[in-house]
Amino acid sequence: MAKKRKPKYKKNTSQKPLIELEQEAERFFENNHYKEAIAAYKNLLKIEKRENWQQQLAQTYLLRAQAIAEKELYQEAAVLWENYAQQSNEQQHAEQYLTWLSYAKQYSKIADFLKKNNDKLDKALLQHLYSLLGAVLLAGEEKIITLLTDENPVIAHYPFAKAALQAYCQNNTQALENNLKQIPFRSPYKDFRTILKALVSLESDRDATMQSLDKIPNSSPYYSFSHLCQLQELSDTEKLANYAKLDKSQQIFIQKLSGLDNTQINLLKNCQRVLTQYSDKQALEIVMKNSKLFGEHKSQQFGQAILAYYPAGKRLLQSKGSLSEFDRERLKALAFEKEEKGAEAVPHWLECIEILKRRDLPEEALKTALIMRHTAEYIGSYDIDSIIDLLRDSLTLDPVDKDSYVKLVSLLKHENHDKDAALWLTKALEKFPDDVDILTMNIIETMRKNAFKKAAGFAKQLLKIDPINPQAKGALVSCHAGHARKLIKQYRYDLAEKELAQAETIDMGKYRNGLVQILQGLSAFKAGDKKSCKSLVEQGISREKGDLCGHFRLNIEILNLDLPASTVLRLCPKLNKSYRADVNEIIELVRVMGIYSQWNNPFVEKAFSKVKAIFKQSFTQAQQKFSVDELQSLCESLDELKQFEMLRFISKAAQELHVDNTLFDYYQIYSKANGEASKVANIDMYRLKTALNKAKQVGDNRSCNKISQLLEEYERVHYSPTSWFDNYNEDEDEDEDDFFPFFGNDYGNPDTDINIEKLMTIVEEVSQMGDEDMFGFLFDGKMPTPQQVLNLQRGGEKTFNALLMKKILEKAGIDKDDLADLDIESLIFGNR
Amino acid sequence: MLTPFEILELSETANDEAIKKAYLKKVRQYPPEQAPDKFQQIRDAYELIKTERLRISYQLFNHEKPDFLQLLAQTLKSNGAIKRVDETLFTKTLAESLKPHS
Repeated sequence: MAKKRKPKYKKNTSQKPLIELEQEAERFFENNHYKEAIAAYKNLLKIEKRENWQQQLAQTYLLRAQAIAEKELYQEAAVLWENYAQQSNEQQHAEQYLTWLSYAKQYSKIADFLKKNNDKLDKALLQHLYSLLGAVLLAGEEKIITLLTDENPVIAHYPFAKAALQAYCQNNTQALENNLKQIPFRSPYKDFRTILKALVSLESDRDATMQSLDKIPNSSPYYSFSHLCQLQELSDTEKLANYAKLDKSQQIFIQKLSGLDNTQINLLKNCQRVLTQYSDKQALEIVMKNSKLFGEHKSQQFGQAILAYYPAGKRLLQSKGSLSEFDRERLKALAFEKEEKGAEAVPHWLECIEILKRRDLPEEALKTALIMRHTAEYIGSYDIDSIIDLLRDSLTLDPVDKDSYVKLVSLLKHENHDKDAALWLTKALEKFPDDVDILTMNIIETMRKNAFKKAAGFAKQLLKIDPINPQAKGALVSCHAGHARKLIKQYRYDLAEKELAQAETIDMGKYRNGLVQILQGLSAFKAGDKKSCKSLVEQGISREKGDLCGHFRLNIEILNLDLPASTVLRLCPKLNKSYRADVNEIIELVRVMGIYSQWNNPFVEKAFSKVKAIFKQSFTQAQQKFSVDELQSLCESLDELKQFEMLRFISKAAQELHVDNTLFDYYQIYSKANGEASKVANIDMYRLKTALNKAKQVGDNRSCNKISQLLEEYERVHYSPTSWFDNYNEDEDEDEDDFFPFFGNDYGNPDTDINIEKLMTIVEEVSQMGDEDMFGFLFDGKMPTPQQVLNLQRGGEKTFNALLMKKILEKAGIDKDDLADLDIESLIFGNR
Repeated sequence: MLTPFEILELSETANDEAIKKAYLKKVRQYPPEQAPDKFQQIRDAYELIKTERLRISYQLFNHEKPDFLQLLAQTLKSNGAIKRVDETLFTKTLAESLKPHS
């Protein structure tokens, strides 16, 4: 780095007017160029004696002294302070001056200062000074004796302090006590007395020692020494780390106080290098070499655990003959996990499972099951069959893991293995008959099959455990409603009414809605009572969060009951075209759609299409009022509903509102591909990669998981690897896994890929540019002419984008035609 | 880094009952209102090993980096063999401590 040039002060008094010289001096002062400022003020004072210049000069001396002291030039700092004192006739910061003198060992100057200023000095400062001189004297600077009078307490109390020190060193308790008693309460040696007493108590009561040492204030000259003494507690890691930084004689001092035996001290000496320059290799070597001292078991534990970080160390451990085949594989797997290469850990975990299976020990069944579950977490979504197999096997070995049942059932459903899913759900219920999650899953499953009676049974069971569970209440209402629908279709209106009356008794709290009234109204319609129909439907809609929710409910129930929609709707209140739902109602509508969808209702899409336009307009109007969390949840719910068109619409708006939120990038790309990884465009994979990196940087796990899953799915549909179980052994020698194989030569046109990569690198650089750099980039390093700026302003975003695109392509050295098949504009501006 | 067993001062073969007992003893020693950090450490340790299932999981999958400093510190428990420092070393150490930035 180039050295910053300092302004030099040139004497040029004859040519410059005074006012300029003064301004120059002020400038130096303000810019902390004290040396130049001193010269400038001195010069001014030669021309004319002005008091304010003199004061300014004094102030500059003081500030320069402090700056110089920062650089540890204490003698120079002291001289500068003296100049300050002379110019100003003041003695501010005298304690700093005296400390600098002591650091520079200019004790005679300290003594002179004391003689001259004894009466003027502040009491506290005087005490501090005496204490400092006493400490220096005890540390061997005996010439201080000649500089002070015999009456000075530093000199008067010194013989007792010195004798006490000698008595302590010679272990002469009586003499020590006698001499300590001679040191008065306010003596300059009072802190020294405290320290000596503390060191004596070390032999009987370590806690008392530490407490006494803690009493030394940080303003005391003995503070560092007392702090050092505290390091004797080497079983404290923080103190041990500080001990390692001490010089040799200080370390010996601490070793003596620490109470360690010779073997421990030798070990400490051997470890010094590892403590100051830690390396896993050295640490492992030291531990293995001194395993007796560290303890065999602890050494082995340490060795095994460090192998995940230093795999080459296994030879050291093996030479000890204790690393089993199982542990070897386990440690390999952990080493990959530590590097976040979970997929590469999988073969080793599978090997562990094989080893345990070969051993076939009943007591290791749980261990095997746990490894199977752990492994399943690292197998990507591209190999769901392997995950299913592992979870199924794990439950055979250890059938009491609820999470595994939940995961297994979800995966089986995802893969459309409905029979298997039902079977495992039944098994889960047998093991966990009172579990909220398992009961909820059973409610959903039975509701989907329209087995209302069974579902109601589960819901009632769940309400016994959790009386306010909204899902169970909702399910119970839905069961009655389901039954009622059946009865209405069969023209058994009285019975339907009874079912609905039962549903009405269930208190839905904040989830209260108009389902019962709407069904009653539609029942009335079917029975020919149009008047009641109108009033009941109106009542039902009014009980919903708003008209949008009400009309969605009405539409879906008309479809559920197979009624003539146009006739019914003619009777009922219409949804006003200018109606706009607020944030809460929009969220509620998506929730209600989710519930219908969960029960496998086939009319969600159709009913939603009737209110979609108003939903969209409502969202557009209310979008600013949504929090990020609400927008994210909305996207998630729309994803679950497979409402990709709406997801596209909402995620686009959300992305514009929250440009840094990578989850909206993901939802935009994902919805554009209608939720199918195979349909994700190549260009969008680059955007996803950028988004993933961005999400990782900010620790956004939610986005990371979603994006990684989509990338894995993309890989799965393009590569369809064989199952882990078929080939994990063969994978060992393969090259490092390329997480984005679609960038490679096996997929797509390699030239195009290279060009895209070049382009994206420059886009990334450009996106980091500030305004000035951006102008430089657009106008080849020159400032734009006013005409160019005007053109840019007139042309607006379109012109700016065109120019930017041109410059990016120029910098990448790419002809536009080389990327003819690609949408370059969205490639460049897509992730802006 | 101390292992949960070390935090609760237990052997690695301790069973559920012994672990709970040790945990309660430690919690009494370090109540949350007096030593919140220590309490949290104890609580976390207990949550990691309170059942056999968790203990096996911990032993199989934990890959927290072992702390050499911790291992060494545990080995350096005082044996009470405190020695008096000689006067020269004492004054030399005191003089060092009076230097700036010591």
